[in-house]
Amino acid sequence: MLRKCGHNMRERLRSFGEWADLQIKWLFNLPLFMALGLTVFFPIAYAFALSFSSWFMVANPSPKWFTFGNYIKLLGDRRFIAAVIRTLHFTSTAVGIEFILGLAIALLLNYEFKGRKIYRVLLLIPMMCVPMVIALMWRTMFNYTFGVINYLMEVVGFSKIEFLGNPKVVIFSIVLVDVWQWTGFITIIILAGLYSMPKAPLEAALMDGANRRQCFIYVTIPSIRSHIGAAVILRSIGAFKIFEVIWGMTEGGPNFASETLYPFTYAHTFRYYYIGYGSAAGVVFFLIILGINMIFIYLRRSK
Amino acid sequence: MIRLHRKVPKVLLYHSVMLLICIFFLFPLYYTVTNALKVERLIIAYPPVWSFQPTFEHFIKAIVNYRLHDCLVNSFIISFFATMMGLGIAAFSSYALVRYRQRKIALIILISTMIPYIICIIPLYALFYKVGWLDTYHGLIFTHLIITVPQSVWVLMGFVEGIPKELEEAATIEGCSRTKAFLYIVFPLIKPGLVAAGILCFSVSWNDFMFAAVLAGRYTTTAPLGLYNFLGKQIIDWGGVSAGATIMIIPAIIFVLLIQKQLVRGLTIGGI
Repeated sequence: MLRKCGHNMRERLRSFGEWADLQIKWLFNLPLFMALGLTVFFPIAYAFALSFSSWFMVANPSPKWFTFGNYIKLLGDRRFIAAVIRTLHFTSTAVGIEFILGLAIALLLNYEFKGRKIYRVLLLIPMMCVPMVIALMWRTMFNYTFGVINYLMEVVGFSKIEFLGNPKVVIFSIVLVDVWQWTGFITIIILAGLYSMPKAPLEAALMDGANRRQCFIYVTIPSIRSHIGAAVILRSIGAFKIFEVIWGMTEGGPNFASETLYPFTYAHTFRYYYIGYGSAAGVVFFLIILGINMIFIYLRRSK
Repeated sequence: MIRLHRKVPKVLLYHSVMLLICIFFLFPLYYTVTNALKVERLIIAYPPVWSFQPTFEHFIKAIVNYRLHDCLVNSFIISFFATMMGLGIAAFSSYALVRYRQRKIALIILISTMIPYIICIIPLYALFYKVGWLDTYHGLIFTHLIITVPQSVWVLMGFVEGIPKELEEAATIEGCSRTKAFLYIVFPLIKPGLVAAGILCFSVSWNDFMFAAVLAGRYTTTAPLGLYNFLGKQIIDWGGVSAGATIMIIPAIIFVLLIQKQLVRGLTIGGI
């Protein structure tokens, strides 16, 4: 009796094993679906729903459904429109400078000379620092009364500038910090492309009498195109999502002059507690990022 | 001889240009570290003072007054558990995603590595507020999965793709079940991938400020939030801020120097 039962169990276990083997595709992904569902999909769906509610959390314990008011209000909100334009402006400036600088450094490090590996490691350091630390570091350096950058400006012969206090200058100060932080990233990605580039086409071009500039434009750039695309788009998404650095340096000020989309959303939800309005801003933000993502995916496909 | 003459200045040129660039990249770190060692009076001196008697009072203040060590421990607990859970989930699913060519799910993973996290935090905040998960470790670890799960799956997929399918096929022909083939053959081979993905996830999760700013409180303050709290309402304690920043920079530098190879691998695989 017992033996029979044990036999039965073993049989069952084996058939369970076989069943599991067939379902491996879904069984292995089960934890992933659960984790992603709970932490990503459900919250995003909920945020979409909240964006159609009016919920001032300080006064009401629960949201008031259902309204399009948030989106209409967003369209008329000057601060929001300015934040969107500023985000685009910031992203294009910062990523443009980072790309040119990063490409130049990568090309320099592509030459074989002793000690180049040390430079590559040093370039990684700013990227790995905690953004809040970076923000506070630069906040000290940008200080009007004792900051070292103003000191350097005076040494060179300019007059002092209020880097973080002047609404016209503040965004460029943040661009400088972003360039400092992320140029190394672009360098690393492009270097990976340059290392994996086959040598033969370059040699062939040189044999055919192409000069250096022609080689660079017609051979090197096309063969690292996908790396360049990936670096620029990943950086653009990163620059769109800049938050910690701005929050630590200026909290979006002065007079909201350094407020991009992320700080705008954050301030409205977690500082003023307009959860509904903040969610609507967050949804718009999310959709923009999704759009850029689609370009990225399209580029990967075409590769 | 002539060739040598032509080559030496060129190398010198490369080195001098790179040194200039590195000064730009490393100067802020140097400035912060020296500031942390200055007396308050010297920090706000203008023009800046370059030689001074070092003092450790700011470091003592950062530990005793601001309890930065507690924040560092909290940060470590949260990032560590979130990374481990992320890796555990990713090891299985990255294999399934690659071997069964589940392209659409892979695409969703890629997109979720790049979403602005604030859109997930708004509803989770409202939810945690109701359930009482604000200011708890499990709440924060749970939200950090938003970062670690997609990141680690994405990086690991790159590694699984590099493992030849024939290895498992040979094992299954020998009579090994697929699950066993995964555990005994694929899993040991993706260990370097687990390290690279783990490093990347840990650092992203460690760097996070926003989750903690929204969801953490007195008992779970993470290090970036703790440092941000150094800034007073009116007066900024520059010495304390610099000391806290120094304490947080130094592990990052050591970290980079120790694991730069895996780091570069994780970054490039995640990118391309």
